[in-house]
Amino acid sequence: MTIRAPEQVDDAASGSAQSRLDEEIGAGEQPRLQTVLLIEDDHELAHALALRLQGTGLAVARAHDGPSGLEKLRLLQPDLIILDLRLPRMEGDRFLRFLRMTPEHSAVPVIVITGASDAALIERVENWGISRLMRKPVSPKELLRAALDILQAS
Amino acid sequence: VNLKAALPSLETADHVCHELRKPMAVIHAYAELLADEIAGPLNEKQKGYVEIVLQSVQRLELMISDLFETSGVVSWAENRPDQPTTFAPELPLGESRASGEGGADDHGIDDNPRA
Repeated sequence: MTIRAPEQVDDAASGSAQSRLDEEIGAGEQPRLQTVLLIEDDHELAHALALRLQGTGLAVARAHDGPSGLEKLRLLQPDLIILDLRLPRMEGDRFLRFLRMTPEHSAVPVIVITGASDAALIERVENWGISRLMRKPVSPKELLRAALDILQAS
Repeated sequence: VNLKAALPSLETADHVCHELRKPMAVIHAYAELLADEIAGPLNEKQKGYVEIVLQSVQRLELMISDLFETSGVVSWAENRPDQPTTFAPELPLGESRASGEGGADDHGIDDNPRA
């Protein structure tokens, strides 16, 4: 039996990274797919969630820390962001704060997924404006439903 | 077990909670993908086994939540329904695009997309 490792996504902001991004999200295809940026530091979980989202025709780009999430945000202009709160190099709440303070991204809907129970952190995140809060373990199916709900409403 | 007394801070408790939920999230996600036959069709015996995995990880999640609840570390999830939020009024950033309610089933998400 062959087990295929989850796809690895290069987080570097370079030309070659851009072409990989294009390949990842199916750039150049018409009509443009709605793009979801999934920022989750656990590669295996990100792979599973992306697999479910892609199954319904959404384009999914993945980032595994805050800075690479910001770079893909700039490159891709996603329609929806799925954001883990505990991220290396830049916590999710800082990412969200930056997002809301940047005019071109301030209205992008965000689904927060987290295993954290820190009420102060959650309150801080809610104050920055999120569309949905989902606690880990997140059901890929429920996440997909939430994503489609939000994309349809926006 | 007096977990609250054993833990030096709520921050540590939150970290422990988060670290416990990380592998559970991975198990849950892949088990659900298998159950939904995203990776290919399952026979009845395989479906039953995967269902046991899903039920067990859900029990584990409840146990972890109970553990933190009884130790005095209040979980936000039980007190905060899964509702959209908006920006704080004082933030001059416009309104967020909160999700609509309901309608999830309208998207035609199927437990078995291959069917």
